[in-house]
Amino acid sequence: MILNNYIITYLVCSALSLFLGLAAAINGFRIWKKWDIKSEADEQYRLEKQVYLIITVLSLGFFLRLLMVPLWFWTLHSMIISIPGAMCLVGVHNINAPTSYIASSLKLVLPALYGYWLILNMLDRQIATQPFIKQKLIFLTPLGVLILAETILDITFFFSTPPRQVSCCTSLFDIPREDILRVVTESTWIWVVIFYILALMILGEIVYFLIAQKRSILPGRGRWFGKKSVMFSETIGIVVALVVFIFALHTKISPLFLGLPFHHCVFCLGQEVWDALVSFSMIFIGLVLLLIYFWIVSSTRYREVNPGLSGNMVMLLKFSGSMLALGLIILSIHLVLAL
Amino acid sequence: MIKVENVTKNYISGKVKVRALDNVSLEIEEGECVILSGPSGSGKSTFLNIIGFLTRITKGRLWLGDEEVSHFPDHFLSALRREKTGFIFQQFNLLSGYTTWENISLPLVPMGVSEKVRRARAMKLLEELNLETRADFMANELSGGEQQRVAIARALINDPGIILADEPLSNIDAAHVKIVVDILGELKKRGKTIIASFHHSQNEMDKLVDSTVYFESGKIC
Repeated sequence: MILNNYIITYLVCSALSLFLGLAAAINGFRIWKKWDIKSEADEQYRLEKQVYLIITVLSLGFFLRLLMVPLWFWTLHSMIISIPGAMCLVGVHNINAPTSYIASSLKLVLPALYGYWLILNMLDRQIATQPFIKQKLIFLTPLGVLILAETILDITFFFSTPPRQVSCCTSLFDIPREDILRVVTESTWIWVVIFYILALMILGEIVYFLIAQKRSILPGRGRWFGKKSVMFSETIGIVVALVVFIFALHTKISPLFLGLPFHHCVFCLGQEVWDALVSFSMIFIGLVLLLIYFWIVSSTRYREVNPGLSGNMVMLLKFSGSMLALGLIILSIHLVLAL
Repeated sequence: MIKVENVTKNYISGKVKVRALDNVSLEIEEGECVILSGPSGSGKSTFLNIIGFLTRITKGRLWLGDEEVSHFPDHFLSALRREKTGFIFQQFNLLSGYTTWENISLPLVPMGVSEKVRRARAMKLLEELNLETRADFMANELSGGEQQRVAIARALINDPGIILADEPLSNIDAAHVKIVVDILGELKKRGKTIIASFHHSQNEMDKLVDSTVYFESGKIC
């Protein structure tokens, strides 16, 4: 086991947010079962009071969890000097794979769910009927399970790191081997091109939805609502864009930015070219916020409260589009300079 | 317009359920001055707290204008309280560690109003109530009558449409009673709805009152 300041800080934050998350999830489920907004019983008022406490606790826990994403990667980075053979995060991950890779993947997936809950909560509090209250309470249960799973993975990783030599990115990505997908060892523009096409299509779609939203509030026009089918296709589309983006980083962007034609390591890229990380984060945040937008507008309850919340949703759409566009601009400038 | 329809309010004290209001209905028009009268424990203060959004009803319906607010969540009721009502308490409830103008401007703090604007608005009210020389006095340095006027100023700082007063004349001397009644009369002239509770009749208020509602054992008689 390796122990340093980062690991201790991370574990303390993890334990605290796990405690907050589980307490909220258990109570959220209990309240969800009894919740009835039209009920005149005093019990309902007590439940409402408890919801305020849960929201406060959980907002704190989720913000902590969001801040723990960069802290996780910094913590892994701090372990490089303690692991023989490790030069970047690939080596650190390899000391306890696949636990480490699953834990890191969750760090990218779960913030989308925390973000979804926080935005849903913000919208819910703006309408007197609290249209999303049951939705946000029941959503706490799977979220609590995921937080628990993530914490177990993190603790397993930190507490069972054997003192051994590891292979790092050079031996893993740069030397073609049969057991590794060619997509991470090839130097091809194809994924970059596909990513740009997808990203531009998504940006075009955001503009289209902004226009559709604007038109829908004009008198005499039908309001525009998200549909379940749109939500599923958008979710798949955005996830595909994110996966393609990772392939693009691996196959072309990393070698270009690092100035090493055969070095494909994304972690080295993050380690060496910090400003590129800003554009990657912006692209990631932009896509995730768009995903959250579709998750919310496709909700049945959203249909009932659309007029009251459309302003906020337009703002969310604009913010997501701006983040994506800005991230793409920075990435493009970087690419031009690298070429 | 405030409309209370078949409202019941129960309090639970340990294992005992106390019915503070029992199937009460009342409609108060905008600009009216209504006196709630009745002995102690008759339900006047509970009624005042309900229409001031300080407490929730157990049964029935509460309307503010055209909107039913009975099932509003607490943070919406807080906003209503902040924007629509001003509360004058029997015990003044001023914070002793703060100056007069700070006490008056306190309701503006959660609204994010800057200190400069808060002071300017407090000073304007203090001038109207002839208390401008007391602006920087600590609240506990004021006389009972002055404290009640400061409490009235605090209730008016958000320019609310509804003024709720719980026994506003109980803790002040006769000379100040006339001043406070004159202030309430001036507020009525400005179109404010005034709802005040008294446990015994107040002749001084007669010229202002549009209707008097008698409470007994949680019911309107």
